[in-house]
Amino acid sequence: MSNSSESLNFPRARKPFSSLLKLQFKVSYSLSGTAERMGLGSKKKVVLYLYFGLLALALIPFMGVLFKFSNALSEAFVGMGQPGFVVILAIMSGQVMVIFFGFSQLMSALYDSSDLETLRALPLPPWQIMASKISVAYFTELLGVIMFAGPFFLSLGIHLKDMSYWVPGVFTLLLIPCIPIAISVLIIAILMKFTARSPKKDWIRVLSGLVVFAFIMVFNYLNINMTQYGPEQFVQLLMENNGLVAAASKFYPILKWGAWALTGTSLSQKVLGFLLYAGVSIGVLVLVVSFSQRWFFEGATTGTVSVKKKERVTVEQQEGELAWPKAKSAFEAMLVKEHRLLVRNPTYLMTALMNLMILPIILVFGYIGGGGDLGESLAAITGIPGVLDIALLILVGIHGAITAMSQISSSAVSREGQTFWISKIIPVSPVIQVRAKLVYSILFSCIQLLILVVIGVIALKLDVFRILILLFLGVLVSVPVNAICLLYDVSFAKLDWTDPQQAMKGNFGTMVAWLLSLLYVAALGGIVYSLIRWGVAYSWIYCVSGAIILASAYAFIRWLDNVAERRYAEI
Amino acid sequence: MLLRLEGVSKTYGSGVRAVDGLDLQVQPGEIFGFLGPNGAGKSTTIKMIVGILTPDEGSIEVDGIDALEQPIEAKRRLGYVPDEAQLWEKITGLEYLSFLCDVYGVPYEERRLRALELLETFEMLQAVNEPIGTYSRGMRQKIAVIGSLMHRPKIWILDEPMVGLDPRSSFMLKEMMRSHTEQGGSVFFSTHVLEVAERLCDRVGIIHKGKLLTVNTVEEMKHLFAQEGDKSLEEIFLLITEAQLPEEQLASLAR
Repeated sequence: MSNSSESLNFPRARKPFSSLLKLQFKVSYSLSGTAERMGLGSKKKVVLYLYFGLLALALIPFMGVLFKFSNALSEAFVGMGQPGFVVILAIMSGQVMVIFFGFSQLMSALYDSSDLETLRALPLPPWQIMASKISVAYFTELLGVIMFAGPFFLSLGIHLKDMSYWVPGVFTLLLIPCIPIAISVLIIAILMKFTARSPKKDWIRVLSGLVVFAFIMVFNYLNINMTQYGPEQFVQLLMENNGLVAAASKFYPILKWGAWALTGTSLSQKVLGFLLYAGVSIGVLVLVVSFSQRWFFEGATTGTVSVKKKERVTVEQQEGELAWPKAKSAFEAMLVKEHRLLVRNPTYLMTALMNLMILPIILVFGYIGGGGDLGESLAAITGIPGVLDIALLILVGIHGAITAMSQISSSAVSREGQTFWISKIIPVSPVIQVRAKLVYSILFSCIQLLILVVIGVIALKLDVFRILILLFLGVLVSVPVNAICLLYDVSFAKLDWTDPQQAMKGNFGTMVAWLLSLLYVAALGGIVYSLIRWGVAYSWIYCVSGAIILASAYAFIRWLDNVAERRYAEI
Repeated sequence: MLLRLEGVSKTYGSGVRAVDGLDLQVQPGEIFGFLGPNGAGKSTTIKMIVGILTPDEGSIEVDGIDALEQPIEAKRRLGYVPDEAQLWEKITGLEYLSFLCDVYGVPYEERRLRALELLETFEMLQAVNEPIGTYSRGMRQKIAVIGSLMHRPKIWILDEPMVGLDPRSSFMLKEMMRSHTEQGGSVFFSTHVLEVAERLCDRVGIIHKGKLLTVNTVEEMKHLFAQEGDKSLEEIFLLITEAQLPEEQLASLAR
């Protein structure tokens, strides 16, 4: 027996489900995998920890702003005798976030994981396979929830000065993803069962995802919308202790129970609230998983091959059907490939479309929620000289800041996954390939820009000249922003994924790329702010900012070209 | 009977019948070769046996257990090597084997001995502590083969197992198939390499367009075609699947 046999030390035996869970978490959150992707190897983990440390530092300003905001909110609502409303806001925003990010992640994990076949052949009950995938998604979503809703819970606890708040507070926070994950799983399982045989199943799934998301947003808006109350009714609600809690949770009592658990007026209300909140949250999730596992299994084992029934056709007919697409240049072919890879994968398409929808939905609800007063106020403000120009520049800034959120460019290389070898062997230079990715990302950003323009026209009544400036600067700013994201993805592409969503929403790199692009936009904003303060004319500000964006875009594209040449050979 | 399929059918998408009323039996101690051209329904059949796909009609019995009623019990008796092993890249070979042992409930004290035996046979001992992502295609195939045998399955099912293996590993695999049947188990495998089927299989089944055209020993098959001269299995296969046979001869094969 060789010396190598000494290194054959089996890990301790585990129960099948525990072993499956451990495997799924290891596959999703392996540090060594990240290190390898960054070319650090397993021996340079210190560099990896340093990298994560730096990222955490980069998040501090964002978390600081969020905490400051939640702190002010908590102080105000505690002062008004409405602390429960903060809990409602925190739970609701956390749950909307989980639906937004979690739905497509779960759809990808339950539909498209490349390990599903391997797992289905093993003696594991379907619920265990399903539960292991859901657990990973739950954990991922929980990290986001802690980041966004955590500051609300923290600041409220500080202001309530009640030691008994903290333990139920932590559990309330940890259970936020239960209901939205349960809703997502239920819808996905239904879709899996009833669309498995449909040739249009991908489109049905994408559309269903978008409809569900829109429905959840509308539902939450209706649930929490306070404009329906007249001034007297509203004052009455404010006069009652936690009066807003009942008003803001009439369609969705889980919010009320969460608020009772942490800010109830008596111990019995707190205990009852917590038991109802925790019991219903966990109960619904367990019920949905056990109920939908059969549909999941049926959908998963139906088979996905979907081809037209062959009929006898003549050679001439076959030739006629073989309508060969017309010849394209290498660049055009790359561009078409980018488009097809995105739109023919329901996971990617849904993620991209949801990212597109989020901003208009928020702005439209904000506009409607403001009632007629908002329109009048805006009309009054925009009449002041310079305000429209500032608003225009802010819109350009918003476009720059959210362009990377679509994750089109920051996952452009990662999305190729195991098929990246094709990009390496084709006789098209990496420069052309990444430029095609860049152009496609810019074109995609333009959809978002058009939505912003429409909002600008309706809400701000922008004139033609300013619309053109907004379009020009908007397209321009999306060049360096997308180039930065592509630069990051080319440098640290995540190609070894087991389900497609790991390349997009499950790709930590897309968040880093977004943060880096935010830094760029912030720097640009700083320059523009300084120019305004120095009293430079707005026409000059447009020219100067345009020139800066153009110059930086050129620099980033050149940098991208160089990195692509090197990385395509290394990967 | 270790494996019995009765009237098994599977239809995909917009009506393509991938497997059509398939009847099949595999005896203990038998190596059964499943042959057919691309798209004939081989992989679909195998996926239905191992529980990846559910048949639309028919029944599947594994070691006397109804695989559709008691899938977990049936799967415990199967070892499966897919045509293209989708393995988790970030875990090591040892972690993969350990996971399978947990899932199949292999006693801890047996794991090391069994793994050593198989890893040494396939010369994988050196690589077992490395992440699977660093393995070559052949090494992945080998670790998938090893994983499928850790729990000593009664029926070993392999989908195109020779693809990607070097000649030595291919030889070892064939030896292991023989040894598996000598110990009372049976082997069911699909292949395109007709030479392997000819030399290794006790019986072969030929499937074409979802229908099982013939199940016979290679010798019986040659005997059936003796009137057309001395033919190899490859020539018989081409005759059957390219439909160059008269209807009555096809019907007699099916009988």
